[in-house]
Amino acid sequence: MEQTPVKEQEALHSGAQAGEIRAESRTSGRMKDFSRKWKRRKTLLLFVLPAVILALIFNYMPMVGVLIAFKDNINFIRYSNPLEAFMNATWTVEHFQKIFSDPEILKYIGNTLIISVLKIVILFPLPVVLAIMITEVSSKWFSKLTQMAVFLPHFLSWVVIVGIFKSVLAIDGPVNQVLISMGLMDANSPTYWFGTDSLFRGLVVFLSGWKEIGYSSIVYVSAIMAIDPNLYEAAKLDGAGKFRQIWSITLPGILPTIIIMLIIRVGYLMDAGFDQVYAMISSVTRNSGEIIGTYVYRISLGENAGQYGLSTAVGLFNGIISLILILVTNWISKKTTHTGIF
Amino acid sequence: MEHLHVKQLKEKRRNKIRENKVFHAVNYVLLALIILICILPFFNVLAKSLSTYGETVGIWPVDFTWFNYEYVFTTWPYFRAFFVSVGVTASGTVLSVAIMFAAAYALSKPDLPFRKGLMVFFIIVMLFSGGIVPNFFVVRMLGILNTPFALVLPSLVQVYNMILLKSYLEGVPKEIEESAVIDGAGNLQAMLYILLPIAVPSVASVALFTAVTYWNNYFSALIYLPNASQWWPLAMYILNYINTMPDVLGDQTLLLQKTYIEAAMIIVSIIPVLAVYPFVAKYFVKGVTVGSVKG
Repeated sequence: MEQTPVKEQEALHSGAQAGEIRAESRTSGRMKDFSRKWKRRKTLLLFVLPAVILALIFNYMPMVGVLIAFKDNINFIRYSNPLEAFMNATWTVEHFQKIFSDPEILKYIGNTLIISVLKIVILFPLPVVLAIMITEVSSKWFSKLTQMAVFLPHFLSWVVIVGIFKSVLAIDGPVNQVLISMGLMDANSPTYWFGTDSLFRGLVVFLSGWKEIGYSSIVYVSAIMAIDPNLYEAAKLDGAGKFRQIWSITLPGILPTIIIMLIIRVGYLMDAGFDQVYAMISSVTRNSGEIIGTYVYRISLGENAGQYGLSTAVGLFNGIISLILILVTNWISKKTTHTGIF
Repeated sequence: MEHLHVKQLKEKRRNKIRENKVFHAVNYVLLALIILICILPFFNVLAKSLSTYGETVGIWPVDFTWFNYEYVFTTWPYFRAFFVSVGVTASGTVLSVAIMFAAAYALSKPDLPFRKGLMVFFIIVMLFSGGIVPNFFVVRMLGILNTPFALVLPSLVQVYNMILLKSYLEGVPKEIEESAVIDGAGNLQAMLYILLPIAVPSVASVALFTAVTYWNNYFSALIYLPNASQWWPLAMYILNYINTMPDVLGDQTLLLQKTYIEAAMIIVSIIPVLAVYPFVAKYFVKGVTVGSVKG
């Protein structure tokens, strides 16, 4: 381990030399160009410095820290210095083998994918529908009221939202009361919404929709606003009804936006929403609700703390798949719509 | 023949008008329903926060009482958490936006040395994270575990916000800044006195995004402040209150009223958000739209 920094230094050094040689062998104009840039703009580098230092500490150091995933049972209690503890642990790839063989971990990966896919399939189209509905409203105050009401949940913490729905969906709460009075639920065995394993995923999707559909519709509302109004006038003259106009003008008009949003969304497939699920889950709903994020937390710092190596390995595995997904979806987005997130 | 055709056309037209009327009526009704679904849960919690333990609370208080609010307003840990949240949100937002704006300013200059390399450096940050455990140990090695610094510092770098600011600054005509530089203003002055005032709308939306993220964040407290409940922010405090049983040996009413007290805690915690929401909503909308058109 001690050798790594030395090697890195060497590599950096030789890299720098190679760079110099290459630059010299090319036209000297580039060098001149750079030195001019450097003279004029070197103080500007100070402006980026705080961000660079913070990123090095809080983002790049943990990236080196993923090496924990290749260590067996690091003893952080015996060695108070984490670095010392790290170096005294043995190397292993066992954790990665476990990811593919442990039925528990595979189940949680499955849960992550199921919840994520359900969220995309069920929730992705709804903001488009809502945006069309909002833009069809002719009354200004009603349109404003609608937007204010549907955007609001986005700005609240998942803790607050789960708290609100634990009240609304309580075993003796108003929703159950209404369902019982309508004869849709047996008064003797009311549903315990948050404490039933089979209902958990549905609840996750519902709450996620309640929080985000309104906010996600903003982007489509502004896309619809950008459509040329003359198109609608022409369609009206041709005798097209509302549905025909939506189908033939609105939807094609916002299709590029829909495609970009879908591509970005799919890139985050491996993220089923830690903040939400952690605030909702309990030991009863773990079977169908535990996702990679909550599992990684539980076995490292949560209830079953201490399995740092395995936790980091599962996190790393998840991170690499996410990275590939994001890169691929971004590439597709750039190819098809000429826009990407980077 | 001719006559019939006109009649048919008129009939068709009438049908269309009727279709449009029906469409609008249905649209209004559905939207009204959606509004209700969005706001009724809040009214339930509000009513519950003003109720006494007993029958199911709908949207009207049952057995009206101020007890829950009295309890919340006299519970020091709740207030402490409230102030921690205010402090963390304020300092985090100011620092993050300042640091991101400075970086965005430099990166918006096409002739910045190492510009490409720096962009790659930041995009990697956006794409890949070390994960919970390495983050935890970095924070521990820095000696800020269980301190409020761990709530602010690790999330100061927000690359997405930086890119938003950068693309906004790139859209500002060069001449505006150049004239100031000729007058002898340095980079710092140009940034603060020329570009910052121009960039107010985008800085405002980025600041609001950041503030909401800090205010709602409980994840940092969960992993970095396991043994420092005195520094927990509001979201973490409420989550913990909901998930633990109160000390029932002392006072039985606390157990019976628990979910009612939770309701009051939730209401008090969303008041700051509700208070600023109507004034700042437009900046959020702008921020989202800016993000969507950025190439």
